Amino acid sequence: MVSFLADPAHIETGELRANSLLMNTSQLFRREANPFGAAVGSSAILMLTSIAGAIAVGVPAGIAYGWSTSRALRALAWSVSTLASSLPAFFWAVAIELVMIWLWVQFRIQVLPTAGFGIDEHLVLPSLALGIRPAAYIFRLTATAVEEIRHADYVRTAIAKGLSERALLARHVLPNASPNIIAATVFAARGALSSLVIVEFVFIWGGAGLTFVQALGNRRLELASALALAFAVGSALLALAADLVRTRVRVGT
Amino acid sequence: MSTRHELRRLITNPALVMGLIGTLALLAIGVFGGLVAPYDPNANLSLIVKHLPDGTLSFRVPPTFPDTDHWFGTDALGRDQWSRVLTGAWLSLSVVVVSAVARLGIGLSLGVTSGWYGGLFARVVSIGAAGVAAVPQLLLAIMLVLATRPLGAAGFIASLALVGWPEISEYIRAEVLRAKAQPFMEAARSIGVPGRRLITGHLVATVGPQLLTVAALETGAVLLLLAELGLVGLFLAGATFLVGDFGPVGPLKGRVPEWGQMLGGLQFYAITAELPTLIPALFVVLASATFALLADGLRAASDPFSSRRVLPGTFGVLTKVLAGALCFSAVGFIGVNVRPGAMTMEDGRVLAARTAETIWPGSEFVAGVARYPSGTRVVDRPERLTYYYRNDHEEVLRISFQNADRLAVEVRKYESEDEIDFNGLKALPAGLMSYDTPLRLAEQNGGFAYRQFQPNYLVRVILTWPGDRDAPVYAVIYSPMSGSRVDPLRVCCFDARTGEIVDSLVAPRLAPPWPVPADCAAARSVYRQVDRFQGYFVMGPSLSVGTQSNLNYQGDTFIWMLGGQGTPRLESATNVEDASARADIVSPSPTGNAPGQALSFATLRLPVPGCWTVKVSVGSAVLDYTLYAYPSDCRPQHERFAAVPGVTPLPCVRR
Repeated sequence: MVSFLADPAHIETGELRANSLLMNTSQLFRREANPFGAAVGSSAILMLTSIAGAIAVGVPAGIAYGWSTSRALRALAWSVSTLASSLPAFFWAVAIELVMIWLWVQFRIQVLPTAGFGIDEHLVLPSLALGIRPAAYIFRLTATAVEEIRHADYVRTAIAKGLSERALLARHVLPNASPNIIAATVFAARGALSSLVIVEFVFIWGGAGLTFVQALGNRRLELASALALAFAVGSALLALAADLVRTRVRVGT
Repeated sequence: MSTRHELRRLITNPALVMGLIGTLALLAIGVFGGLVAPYDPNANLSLIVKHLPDGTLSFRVPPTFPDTDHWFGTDALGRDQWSRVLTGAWLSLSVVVVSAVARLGIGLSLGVTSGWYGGLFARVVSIGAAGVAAVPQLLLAIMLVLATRPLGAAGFIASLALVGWPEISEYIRAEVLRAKAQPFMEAARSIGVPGRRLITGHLVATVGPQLLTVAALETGAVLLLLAELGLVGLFLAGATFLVGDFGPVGPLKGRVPEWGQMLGGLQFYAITAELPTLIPALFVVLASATFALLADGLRAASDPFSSRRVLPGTFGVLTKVLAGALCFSAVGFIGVNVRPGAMTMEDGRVLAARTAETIWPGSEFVAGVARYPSGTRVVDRPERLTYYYRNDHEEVLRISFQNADRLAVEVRKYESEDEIDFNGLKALPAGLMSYDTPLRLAEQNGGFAYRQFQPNYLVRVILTWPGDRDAPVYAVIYSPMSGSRVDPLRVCCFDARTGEIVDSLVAPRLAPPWPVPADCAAARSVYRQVDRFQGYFVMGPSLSVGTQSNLNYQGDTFIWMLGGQGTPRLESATNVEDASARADIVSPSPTGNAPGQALSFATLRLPVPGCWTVKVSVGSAVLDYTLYAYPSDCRPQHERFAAVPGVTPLPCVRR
C-alpha cells in the first residue's frame, strides 16, 4: 500500500487553496511511479468497499423486509429503496457533498472529509455515494426473493413442523435466495462501475475515472486509453459473471 | 367512460401529474426564463455589495452563498446563479431534446430492424451494442466529444446520441420479437399486408406507448450526461456574433449560458465554496428527476394491466402535448451558434478588445497567454486564457477567460500573473494563429519529456511581439509549480503568423563563428535505439541531447544528465580537435534517480566549445555520444544556419 501514500511536497498551492478542515490536502494530488496501477487499484478499493457495503446493508434489510409483517415499515422501506434506486449516483454524490458542507457552514461540524484519497475516513463518502444505488437494488431483489420463498409450500411445511425461525432462515430461505442475491450483486456492480467516473470526480478520489479525465487534460493519451480499456475489460468481466450467474440460476431451478 | 373518470385516473397517477407539471414548467423556463431573470446572466461582479438595514455595506467576494438578493448565490465570477439557470435552460434543454431524439432514432431503427429481420444483421447489431455498452457512458462520451470536436455543435450532439443507444435497441428488439409473435400480426400477414406496412402500421402502434416512456427516460439520462460532461469541462459554450460588412456588431443571440457550462470548472471552486457552485448540479438533477417521474407515470398510464391506465384517446392527447412541447424546445436550438471547443486566441482577442475599449479606451493588446497547469480538471482546454492590454501610462489591464470559455470573463487592472516584461513590447495585430499549434510543436520539442519528469508543472503559451523582432512570436514555457528545484524549460520561438520555428529569443541574433555539423542532431537516434536508454537524456539549461528538444537548443558549455531508471553515469568527455581540453565532471551520476523522486542531474562542464565525445555508461553498456557544444552566449539553432562562408566545417563525426 506504500505506493498509495501521498507525497506532501507536491501539493499545488496558489489558486487551489484547500480547506484543510474539510479534507486532507496532502492526499489530493498524488504522484505515482505507476499511475495506471495506482488508479485501477484505488478504483478497485472504492468499488469493493461500496459493493461490500451495499451487500451488508441490502441483504439483511431485504431479508428483514421479506420476513416482516409490519405494513407501515415495509411501505417505508420500499419507498426509501425506490427513491435510492431511481436517483443517479451523480445526485447522491452532490447531495452528500452538500450535506457535509451545510453541516460545516451552519454548525461548524466536520463529519467526514469530502475530497481526497485515503484508506481511512476518506473512503466513507465516495463509497456511500457509489453504494446507495447498488444497496437499493440488492435490497429489492433480496426482498422479492425472500418474500417468494417465504410463501413457498416447503417453507410452510417447515414452519408447521416447528422449525425455529433461525434454522428456517439458514436452511431454507438463504440458500434458495442466494442465486438471486448473487445476480443482484453482479448487476449492481456493473451499474456502480458506470457511475464510478463521476463519483471519483466529485470526491477527488484518485481512481481510474478521475485519472482518465486528468490524463486527457494533461494530454497523456496512452494512459487515458489504457484506463478506458481497463473499464471496458472490467465491465466485460462483470457481464461474463452476470451471464454465468444467470446460467447457474437457470440450471438450479 | 366519462371525461371525469379519465381525469380521476390521471390524478391518481401522481408520478404522471408531477412529471407533466415539471416538464411543462421546464418548458416555460426554457421559453420565458430569459425574460424573467432578475439579473443579466453575464454581468459579473468582483465584489458583491449589499446594503444592510443599519445603513452599512457588506462586501463579499464571490462565489457567495444564497441570500435575499441572489436566491441561489453567485458563481465564482459574481454572476447571479438563478438568472443563469433561467437563461441557460433554453439552450441546455434544446441540446438535450435533440440528442435524446437522435439517440432514440438510432436505438429504434436498429432495434426494429434487428428484431424484425434477425439473422446476421441482428447479430452484428448485438455485438456492436455490447461493445458500446461495455465502456461507461461518460468515458465513451468524453472520447467522442473530443474526437468530434471539429464538427462543432453537431459533433457534440452526435456524441450524446451515440452512447446509450444499446439499451434502447435491446429493449425495442425484445418488444418487436414479442409483438411479432402476436396473433394479430399473424392475421395481418395472412391477409397479405406487406412487410413495410406491418412495421409502420401494426408494429409501431404496439411499441409506440413504450416509446414515449423510453423517450422521457432518455431525455433525463442525456441531461445527466450533459451535466457530467460539463463537470469534467466539456460543454457547449455559446455566443453568436453577427458579422456584417462593417465587422462584428456585437452579440446577437449570444452569451447564452448553458447548464453543463455552469458546472464546468465547478470542482476548481468547489473546494473553497461548494454550496453556491453545486447549485447548478441540483437543478440538473431536479430536471432529470422530473423526466424520470414522467417516464414512470407514462409507463403506468400506458400499461393495459395497470389500474392507472388511461384510454388510448387520452394517451394520444398526452403524447401529442408532450411531443409538441419537445419539438418546440428543439426549435429553440435553431439559430444558436454554439461550439464545444475552447476559444481560440483570436476569438478571445475580439471579445477582450471590446472590454478593453470600454475600460481603457485606446489601450493596445500586448500579450496573450494560455495556461495549462498539471492539476487541471478540465479536459483539453486551457485553464485560463489571458489578454494583456497596455495603456499610454504603461499600465496593464488583464482580461482573462476561465477555461477559455467566452462567458467567464474576469477583468483585473494593474495585475500581471505571467512574469512578462511589458516594456518594449509592440502592439499585437489581429488574425494571429491560436495557441494550440505552438503548444503542439513545443510538446514535440522537449515539452512532453519535461512534463513526464515534472508531474507538477505549469505550461504557458505566451504570445508577444518583442521590439527587436520583425514578427509576433509564441514562446512556450514549462515551469514547475512548486517545491521543485527544476529549471523552467523555455521553448522559443514560433512565428505567430505561420507557426514556423524562428530563432531563439534568448540568444543575441548573431551569426555563429562556425558552422553547425548536421551530425549532432542525428545523434539522438543512436541514443534511442540502445536498450533501456530511453529514460536518460543529457540536457542543459539550453542544451539537451538525446531528446527531440535538441532540435531547438544547442549551446552552452554545461551538460546535465537527467535521472531516470537505472544507473546512468558520465564516464569521460574528449574534445575532437583538441585532445588536451579536459572536461570537468562535476557529478558523474544523477544523485537520486528513484522513480517519483525530485529530479537531479549529472553535471559535466566543458571548457571550450566544439565537438565533444561523451561516454555515458549504463550498467555494462557504454555509449559514445558526440555532441556539439556552443558557448553559452550563443545558442543558435543548427537547422536554421547555413554554413558560414570562409569557415571550414569541423570534422565532427559520430563514432
